[in-house]
Amino acid sequence: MADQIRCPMCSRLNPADLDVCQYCQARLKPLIAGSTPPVPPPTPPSQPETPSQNADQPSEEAPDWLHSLRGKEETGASEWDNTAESSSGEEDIPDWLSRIREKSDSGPEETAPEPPASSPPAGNELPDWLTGATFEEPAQQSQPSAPSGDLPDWLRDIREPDERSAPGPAGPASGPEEQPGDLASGGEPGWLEQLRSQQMVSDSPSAPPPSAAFSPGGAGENQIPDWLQSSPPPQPPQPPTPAEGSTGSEQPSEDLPEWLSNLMGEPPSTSSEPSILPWAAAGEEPPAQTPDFTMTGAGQPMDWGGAAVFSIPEPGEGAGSGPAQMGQENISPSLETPGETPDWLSSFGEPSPGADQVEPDWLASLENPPAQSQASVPGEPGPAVEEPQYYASLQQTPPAESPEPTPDWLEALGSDQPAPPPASEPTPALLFEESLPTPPPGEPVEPFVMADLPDWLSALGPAESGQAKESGQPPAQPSTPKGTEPAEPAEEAIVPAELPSWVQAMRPIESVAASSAAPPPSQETDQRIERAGPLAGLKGILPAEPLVAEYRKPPTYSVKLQTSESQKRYAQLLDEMLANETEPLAHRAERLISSQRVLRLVVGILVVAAVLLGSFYPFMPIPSQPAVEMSNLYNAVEALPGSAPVLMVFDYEPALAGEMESAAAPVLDHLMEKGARLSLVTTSPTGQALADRLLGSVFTPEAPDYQQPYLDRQAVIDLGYLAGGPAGIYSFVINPGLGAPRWAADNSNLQDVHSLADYRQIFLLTDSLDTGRAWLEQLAAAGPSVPGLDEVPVMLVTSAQAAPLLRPYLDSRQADGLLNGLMGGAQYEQLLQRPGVANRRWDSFAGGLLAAIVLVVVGGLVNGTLSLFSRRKTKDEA
Amino acid sequence: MKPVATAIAIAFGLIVLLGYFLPLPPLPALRDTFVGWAVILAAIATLIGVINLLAVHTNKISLQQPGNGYSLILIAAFILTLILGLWEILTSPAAPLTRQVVNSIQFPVEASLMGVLAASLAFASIRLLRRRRSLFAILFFVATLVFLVAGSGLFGILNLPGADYLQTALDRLPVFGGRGLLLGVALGSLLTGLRVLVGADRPYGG
Amino acid sequence: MFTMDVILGFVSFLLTLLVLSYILAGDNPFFRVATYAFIGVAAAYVVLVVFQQVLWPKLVLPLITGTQNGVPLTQVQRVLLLAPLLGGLLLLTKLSPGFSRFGSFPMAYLVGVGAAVTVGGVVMGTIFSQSLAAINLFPSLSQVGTAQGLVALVDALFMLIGALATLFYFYFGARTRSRQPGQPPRRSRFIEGLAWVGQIFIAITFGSLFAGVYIAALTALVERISFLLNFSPIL
Repeated sequence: MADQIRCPMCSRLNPADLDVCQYCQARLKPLIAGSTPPVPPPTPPSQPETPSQNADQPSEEAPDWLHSLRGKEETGASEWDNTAESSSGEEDIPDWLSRIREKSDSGPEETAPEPPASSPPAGNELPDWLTGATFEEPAQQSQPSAPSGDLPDWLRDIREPDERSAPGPAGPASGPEEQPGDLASGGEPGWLEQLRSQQMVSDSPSAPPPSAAFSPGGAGENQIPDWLQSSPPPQPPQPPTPAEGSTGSEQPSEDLPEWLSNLMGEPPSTSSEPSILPWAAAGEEPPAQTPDFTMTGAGQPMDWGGAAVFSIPEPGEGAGSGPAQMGQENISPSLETPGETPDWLSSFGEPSPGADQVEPDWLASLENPPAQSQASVPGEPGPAVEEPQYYASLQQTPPAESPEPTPDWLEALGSDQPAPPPASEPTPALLFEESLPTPPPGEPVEPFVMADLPDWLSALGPAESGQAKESGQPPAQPSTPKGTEPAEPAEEAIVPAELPSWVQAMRPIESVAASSAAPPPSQETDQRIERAGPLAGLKGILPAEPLVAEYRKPPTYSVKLQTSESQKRYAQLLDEMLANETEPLAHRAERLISSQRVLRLVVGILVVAAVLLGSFYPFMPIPSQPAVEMSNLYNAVEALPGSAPVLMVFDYEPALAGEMESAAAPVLDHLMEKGARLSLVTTSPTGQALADRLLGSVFTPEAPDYQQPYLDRQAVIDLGYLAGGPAGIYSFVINPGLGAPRWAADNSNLQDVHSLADYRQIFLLTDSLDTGRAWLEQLAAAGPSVPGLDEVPVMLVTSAQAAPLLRPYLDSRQADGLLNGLMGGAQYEQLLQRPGVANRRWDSFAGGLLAAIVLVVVGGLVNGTLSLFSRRKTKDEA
Repeated sequence: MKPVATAIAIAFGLIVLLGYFLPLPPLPALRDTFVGWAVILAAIATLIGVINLLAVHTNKISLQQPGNGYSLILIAAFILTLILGLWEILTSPAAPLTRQVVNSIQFPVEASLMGVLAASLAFASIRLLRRRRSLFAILFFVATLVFLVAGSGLFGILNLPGADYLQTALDRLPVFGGRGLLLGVALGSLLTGLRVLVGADRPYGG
Repeated sequence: MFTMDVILGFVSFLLTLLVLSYILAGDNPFFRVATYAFIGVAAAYVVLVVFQQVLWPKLVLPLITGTQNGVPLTQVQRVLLLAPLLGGLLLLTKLSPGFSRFGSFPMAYLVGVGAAVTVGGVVMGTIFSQSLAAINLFPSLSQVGTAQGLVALVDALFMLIGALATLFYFYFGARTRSRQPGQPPRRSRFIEGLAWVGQIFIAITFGSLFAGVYIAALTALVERISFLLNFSPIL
């Protein structure tokens, strides 16, 4: 262990002969004063060497680094002399601190030894920078005290300028003007310059009291800081430098450097060596007495190795103990009276608001100081069990105002409020290796560069953040100067950033995770104590049981269609609409007596009356001029030769049999007269019956001779019923022998008829457009297949309702004649000059028709007029 | 099963249609044969319709639904007529009675129904202008009157000058629109038939 | 005395009165008795006619005797008659809900053949003929100068315009107008004008049709009344 150096950056052990860490390439040995020395392996705390060294030490606990400073002072070395303060018993107390202590012990104000403010916890080691080994070779660290002659370069530099007695401006007395960055720039530390200047200034009576810079707690002049008072640490670190502790602070006043003198409240020394500690200048070992702040509460020197000012609290100890907390602590050492907590140290004791009372390690060690350290420090005042004032000062609220400006580096150690802009160059930080950037004004100046912090300082971050999370407050961020990288505790957990409460509330994941029973994993992971399983009792492990317990049955989604109320209403409405489409309309029961029924009854009676009147009183003559198409029909029949085969199609319904008989009877009579051989065919099931009826109605007693054969069925052949509509017609037209169900080739009426083209005329008796159109179309379609069929005349005997739409076939020559309704029959009978059925019904027909015409005209006019008046009335009402 | 039915309709239909336009040797024969089969199947389809009618009314009687008395009359008339007809088929009497029964029952009823229609149409004609009073409604009303008058022969009776021409014109007038209607109906029938032949419409359940 | 003619006449008379009672009393039980009896008789008569006029001479008799209308059939023709027989049997399955799907085949056959016959007849019997008729109405140029030619020309023009206008009235193709996106689709102005003219011709044609229907109905009424008047003395 003695031949190894711990890297201040990555905390890994490196060989002692290396200057740069082999892992992270950080310097193991600082080049300038204040650089972080490689942390030697922790050594047990040693007894404080001389109580006088701790004369100026505050009674309360002091940070380790201060403790080590005390140790150096006692040895008589300069403040940065890393000679071990052997008298103090601490391993890492530099000589200059030891000498300081010795000198402070001998002073009137400084000779009030105080119990060590803090005692380093057992097992902790002082940082190397505070020990002699910091500025020594590794081999020298193992020595109990740093050799007096083996001064670091920076210390030599200090002595040299002092020897030259170069005048300089006011030094640290003017305030904490010196910036840590000054040292980081690689040049001569500013504080060092100040020291020189102070020495120069102290010679002049106009120099401001140098103690102002180091007594922000309202300490009077000539006050020795507590940490410089002879308060032997219980276990002062034993730096290898023999100068450590060899010369204590027995004569601190005269031999202390100016800044130390200011701390102690004494006028700057007029000694020839103003800038360096007397013990350091004399090459003596630093006073054995270590500064109070470096001592534990039991008077034991603080173990800087394991617990420092910014010791990392244990996980679970609570927040507020990290470096931020410590940085916020207003450490103001009190230099008013010996034994009292210096103001600037008292400000150390101010815990951050809201922070749990988590004591840093070094504070904790102060409460329970080792018993050995108490007796080893000669001149150590006060009982060991008494809480050192230094420690108490850590708990105290720092004074709102300080008569003297507090150095930045001190304020940054524990001030809750940002340090005021330094009026002058601030006191540089004790620990730094490289040039540090100048912190912006207004921001607290960190005495320690986070990038160079050793492990025990860097490790404060995560736990502190975790503690802050539990408290719901943002963690205290270490106030690092801008531009510097915080130390990376490589082996410690990184404290996650704390979000303000209002930001946390805005997190969307909160609403999702709110139902989750699992607490935040990081928090749970960090703080939760496992209670089950093989890892029960441990902290910081992944929760296994909750993970398992969190496995829930996957949510079952309903297969039912989730519909809203409005959707259900719409669906119901649509169902009703569709149902109404299929449901028949409700028929309103017609009232027995109503105006409509009365009117219909009247109209019917009138029509029937007119028909009866016409049948009894013929009054209407028959139009004499027949239509052209009727004349053509007449002429065609007239031109028939005797016994000509004629096909007659009976395609009308019984409903209009009366009209059809009225129209077809004269034609049939005419054909009978011509002796035509009639072939009857029908596409209606009742056609044959109607044909029989027609043949019987044609019979007139006036012409029984030519009508008898037809009544006897000798001149008529019934070809049957054609099923299938157009298909049956086409089948018959194409091949009557197969199409007609009763085709009798041996029948005399069919002796020279083999196809439809063999007929002389075709008479189509129809009362509907569809039937007539079907016959005409199929006859036209079968024309190419049946030669000569186009030349067979087709005569239409139609009802009045089909005539308008069958007339176009006359233009297309598909029909050659047309006889229409009762009037056509009556006209045909006139042409035959044989009155028949048509003539008998004409007067009735005319009477009924005229009555209907009158009723329609009168009723239409009346209703039209009434509707006009009702419309106007509706418009007026509107 | 559906594709088979569709294929049958398309195949036989196309053969018959081709037989209409292409007098190639196999096609006319096939056409005649297929059309002959269609006539037989159409007759059977008519029987199926009658059987369905009887089934409906029989079910109505068996379920004692309202109006089942009339259904009983229908069934009775059917059975009587059927028995009479079958007897005539078997016996072949000189005077078939079936046709007389039809002429005595079917014809009077249907003719009477048509006569009732005359009174209803007259009544509807009277109320025509009360319901609709557009230009075309009035034109329709006027045309109806004119053609009623023309159908009554009143123009010829009056011996008005140019009555013949007027009558001829009146007879010609509906032909102008009638041809358009005929063409429209023909085009619609053509389109419907083609849709069936190409399988677009499948009214047979395919 | 009560010959069959008299009895049947009386039945006709009675049924006529029952149906004409609709004018006076509307839908009454007598009217319904008459109509339901008429339906029954008509249905039975249809069955008789179909069987006697179609199935027996065209299917059953040829299969049994091998002759149709006295004409002997070949074996092929006789075997081919099994097809309509099978089709008819399949068609009868339409009466059963469980087996109705087998009746789709003969129905498809009927529909297909019927559609083909209709298409052929329409094309050759109406579309071509009517179109040619509308063209042929125009007189030759040599006849235009005469009075008859002029009349024929006017007649032809009216006929052509009437036919086209009537067809255009039933043309319902329309476009949405880009200039008026919110307006419903409308036909073009030219078609709208022709459709308006077609409406006139349609109204006239429908008027004549309505008049013809009324005339036919009136004629039927006249015949029935005449029958009643002629039969009543017999009673």
